[in-house]
Amino acid sequence: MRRVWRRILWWWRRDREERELEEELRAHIVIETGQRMDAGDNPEEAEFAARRAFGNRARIAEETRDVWRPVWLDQLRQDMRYAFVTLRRNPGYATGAIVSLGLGIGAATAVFSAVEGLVLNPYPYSGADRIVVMSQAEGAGPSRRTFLTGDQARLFTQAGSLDAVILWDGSWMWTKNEGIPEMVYGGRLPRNVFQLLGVPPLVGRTFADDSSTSINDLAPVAVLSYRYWQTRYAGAANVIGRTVQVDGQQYTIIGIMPERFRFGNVAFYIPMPSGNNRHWTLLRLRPGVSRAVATAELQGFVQQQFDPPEGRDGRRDVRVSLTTLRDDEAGNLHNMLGILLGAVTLLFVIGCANVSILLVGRGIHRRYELAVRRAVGASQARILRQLLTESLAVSMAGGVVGVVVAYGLLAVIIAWIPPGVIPGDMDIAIDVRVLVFASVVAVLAGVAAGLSPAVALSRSRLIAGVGSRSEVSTRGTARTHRLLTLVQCAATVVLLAAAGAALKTLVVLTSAPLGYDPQNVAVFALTFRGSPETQQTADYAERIKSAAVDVPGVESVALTGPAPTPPVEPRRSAIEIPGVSDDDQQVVLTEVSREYFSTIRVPIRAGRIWTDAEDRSRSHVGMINATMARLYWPNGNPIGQRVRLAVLGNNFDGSTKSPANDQWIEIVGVTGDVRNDGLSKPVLPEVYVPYALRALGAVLLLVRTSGAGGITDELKRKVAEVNAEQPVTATTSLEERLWENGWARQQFAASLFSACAALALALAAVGMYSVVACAVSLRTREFALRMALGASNARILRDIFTSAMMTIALGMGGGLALVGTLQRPIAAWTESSLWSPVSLTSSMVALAVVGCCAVLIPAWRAATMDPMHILRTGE
Amino acid sequence: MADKLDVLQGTLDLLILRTLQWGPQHGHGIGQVIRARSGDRFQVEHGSLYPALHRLRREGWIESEWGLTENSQRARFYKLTAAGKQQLATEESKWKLFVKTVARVLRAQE
Repeated sequence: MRRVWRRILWWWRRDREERELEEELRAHIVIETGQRMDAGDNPEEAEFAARRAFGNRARIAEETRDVWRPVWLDQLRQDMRYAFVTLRRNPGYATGAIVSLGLGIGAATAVFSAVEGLVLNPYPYSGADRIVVMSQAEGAGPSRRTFLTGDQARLFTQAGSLDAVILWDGSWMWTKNEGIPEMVYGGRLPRNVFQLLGVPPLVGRTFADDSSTSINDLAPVAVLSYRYWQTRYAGAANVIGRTVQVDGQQYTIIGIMPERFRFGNVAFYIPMPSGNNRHWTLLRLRPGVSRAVATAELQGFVQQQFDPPEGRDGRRDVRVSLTTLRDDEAGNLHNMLGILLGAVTLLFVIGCANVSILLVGRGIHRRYELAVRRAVGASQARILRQLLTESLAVSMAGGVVGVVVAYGLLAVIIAWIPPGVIPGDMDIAIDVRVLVFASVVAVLAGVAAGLSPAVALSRSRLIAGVGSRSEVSTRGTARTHRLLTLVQCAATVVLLAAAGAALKTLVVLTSAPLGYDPQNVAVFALTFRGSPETQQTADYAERIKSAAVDVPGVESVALTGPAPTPPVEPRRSAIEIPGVSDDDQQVVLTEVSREYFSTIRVPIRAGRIWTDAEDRSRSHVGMINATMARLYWPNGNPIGQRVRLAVLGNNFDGSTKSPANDQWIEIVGVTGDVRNDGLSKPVLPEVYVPYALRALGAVLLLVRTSGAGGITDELKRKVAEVNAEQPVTATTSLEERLWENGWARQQFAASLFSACAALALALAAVGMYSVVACAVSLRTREFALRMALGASNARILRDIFTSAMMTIALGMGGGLALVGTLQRPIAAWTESSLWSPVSLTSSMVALAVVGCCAVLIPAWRAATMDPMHILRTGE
Repeated sequence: MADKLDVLQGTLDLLILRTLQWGPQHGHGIGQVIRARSGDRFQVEHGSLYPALHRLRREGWIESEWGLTENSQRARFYKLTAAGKQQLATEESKWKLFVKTVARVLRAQE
C-alpha cells in the first residue's frame, strides 16, 4: 500500500523528481572530478575521465526512471501507438466508426437536453411542476380558462389541495420614457407573487420586500424584467431609483429580475391595484397532491363556495379541468420532442450498430494476425488488452466528436426554435449527465464489439487460425452482421416515416386555405386613452386611419379588434338567433372597420358590406361568415335576419358603452370563411360588427402595403401629426404571425425529423456498405475460384446483391411492422400519422435506392476483380 | 591486483543497505565505499547503482535528502529508514544462510 502511495507521489511530482535525478547524477560527476583533481589531474582531463567512468548518463537516468514507472503504463503506450498505427492504415474504418458514434452520441444528447429543458425542468419558479392552469366548462359548452377576482382567489386558498393562488395581469401599457411615448406589454402583480414564485431579484428588491405600505395600498414601484432592462436601458447599472411613466403615473424602479425569470413574458411588473377585476390565474398544488385529486376537490369547491354562473336554464353544471403550466404554455411541443427523442434514440442505435458492424468486420480480418501473435507467445490477457485499447481509442474519439456535435446541434436546435414556440422561461443547455451516459453506452458498445475477435480466437483452435487465412469460420459473423443490418433498416424506415409524416403535416398546414391574403400586411398596435364615448373613440380612430392611408406605399388601412387567426382561443360571445331553440350558442365576435374585408382580401359571398353612412349613424348592422350562414340558415337567406349579441349589452374592459343598445344586429352580408380558431381546427361561426358600434380601447391597424416596406417611420410621423402623444407599436406582420402561430412550429418539427431521417439513412448506408464489403473480402478466394472455373461477373454480382438485398428487404418489413405498432401510441400524441401510404412508400423507395448503391459498390468491386491474381497471391 | 568481480544479482541491495548503516552517504560515496571494502574487487556499475538506490527508496527502506559534501558540493544523501534497518537484518541473515548453504553443497560435492 505504501509502495503504491510512493509511486503515485512520484508520478505526481515527477517533474521535480526528474530535475533532482539529473542533479544527483551531475553531482556524482562533479565529486568524481574533484577527487581526480585532488589526485593531480588537470581539471579538463579530470572531468573528461569522470564522465567516461560514469558511462551513458542518459541511459542511467532512463533506467532509474523505469524503477518508478509502472510496466502497464508502458504497455498502454505501446498499445496506443499500435492502435494508432493500425487505425491510420484503415482510415475508412476509423472514420466510419468515429463519425457514426459521434453523430449518435451528439444527436441523442442534444435532443435529450432540449427535452430536459423544455419538458422536465422548464421553469425557475419554486414548485413549478405543481403550478396548474384551471379551466371550466359549463354544461356542454367549451372549456375555458378560469379568471379569478382577488376575493375569489382568497376563497380558493382555503381549498385543501392548493398551496397558492397566483394572480397576474398582462396588458399593453402606455409608457413614457424620456418624453417618448411607447406601448409596452407590462404586468401587474399582487405583492405576494414574487414571494410565491420564490425567485429573488438580480438587483434591488421586489414588492414582496416592501413592507412600508399596506397590502391594498402599494407604492408606485416597478420591477424590470431582465430583457427590458437590457433593451430599453442597455443594462445600465444606475436604473434603480429612476422613474418610468406608465399610464400617466410615475413608477420608481426598485429591482431587476434575473434573466431566466420571464413570468408572463412582460417588460416590467407593477403592483396590481385592488378591485373586482378578474385576473389571469395560476394555481399551485400542495406537494404530493395529484392533479386528479385537486380536480375533484376544486370541482366540489367551485360548485359550493363559488356560485358558478348560472346557465340560462338555471343549470349549474360545471366541469373543472387542470392543465400543467408547461402543457398550457408549450402546447404539444413537448409531445413532438418526445417523439423526436424516440427518433434520436433510434439514430443512436443505428450509430452503435454501425460501430459494431465495423469492429466485428475488422475482427475477422485480424483473426490471422491475432492467431500468429498468440502462437508466438502473446498471452490471452495481453491480446485482450490490446484489442480493448483499440476499441477504446475509436470509442473515445467518437465520444469527442459526439461532444462537439452535441453542442453544435443544440445551438442549431435553439436557433431553429421559432420565437413564440416556447415560453421565455425555458432554458436549454447541454445536460452533462446525459452526455456522459450516452458516451458510456457508446463506448461500451464499441468495446463489446471490439472484443469479439478475441473471444472468437479463444474459442477457435489456434492452428486453424494460423494455418488457413481465409477459411476461418465466418458463419457467426455473417449472422451478427445480418442482424445488425436488419435493425438498422427497420429503424431507418421508422425515422423516414416520421419525417414523412412531419413534412406532410407541414404541407397540409401551410397549404390550408386561410380565407384571406396575409402577404404585405403590416400590423400596428394602437391603444387609445381615456375617451369615454364610443363615438369619440371611433371618430379618433377614423382620423388615425385616414392619416395612415396618406403614407406613401400604403394601399389600404383597416381597424380590427383581434387579428385574423388569433394565437389564443378566439373571443366569443353568446348569441341569440330567432328560430334557433338551443340557448347555448356561441359565436366569434370581431369588431372591424369597413375596409377590413378589402384590406386582407376576404371575399364577400352574399349581400354587402355596411356603408359609410351606416357607420356614421352607428346602425346596428353586421356580417357573418359562410360557416355561420350554413349552420343556422342551411336553406334560407341570412341577409336581413337579426341576431342578438349578449356582449354588445355589456360594458366590459376596454370598450366603451354605446348608448341605446338594444343588442340586435341586422345581417347585411355573408363573407368567406377566415380561419379563426388556429390553423388546423375547423372555422367557427363568426359575426363581424362595425368598429364604430363597439370601439375598443386597443385596436390593430392592418396596413396593406405595395410590398416596398419601410413605412413604419412615415406612419408614425403621420399619426403624430394627429396626436403627438399617441403611441404606435409596429408588431409582426400578418404573415409573420402565421409563422409564429403554427407554421414555424411545424416547420421546426419537419426540419428536425428530416435531419434525423437523413442522418439515419446515411449511417445505415455506411452500415450496409461495410457489411457487404466485409462479406466480399472474406469470400474473395471463393469468388475468384468460381470465376476461374467459369462463373460470369454478372453471376457473382447477382449472388452478392441478392443476399444483401434480402436482408435489407427483411429489415424494411421489420420497420413496417414497427411503424404499425408505434402508430397508435404516437397518434395519441400528435395529429400527424405515421401510417400514410405516400410517405411510407417513399421511405421504402429511398431506403431501397440507398441500399442498392451501398451494396453495389463493393459487389461491383468483387465482380470485376482479376481471379488469377487473387488465386496466385491470395490477396 | 585481484580479479574484478561482478556484484551478484540481488546482493547490491544488501551492500548498499550495509554501507548506509554507518551513516548517510551519497551515490558516489556508496560506490566508493563498496569498492574500497571489497578490496577493489567489486566495481559497482553506475547503471546498476542508481536504479538500485531508487528501487530501495521506492520500497521505503532508504530515504534521501540534499546536503553538502566536505568539498561543499551539493549532493543527494541517502540514509536508512527504520524499515530499512529491519530489511538489512533480514537480508543479512538470509545472505549468511545462503552462503552457508552454498558452502555445504559445495563441500558435499567434493
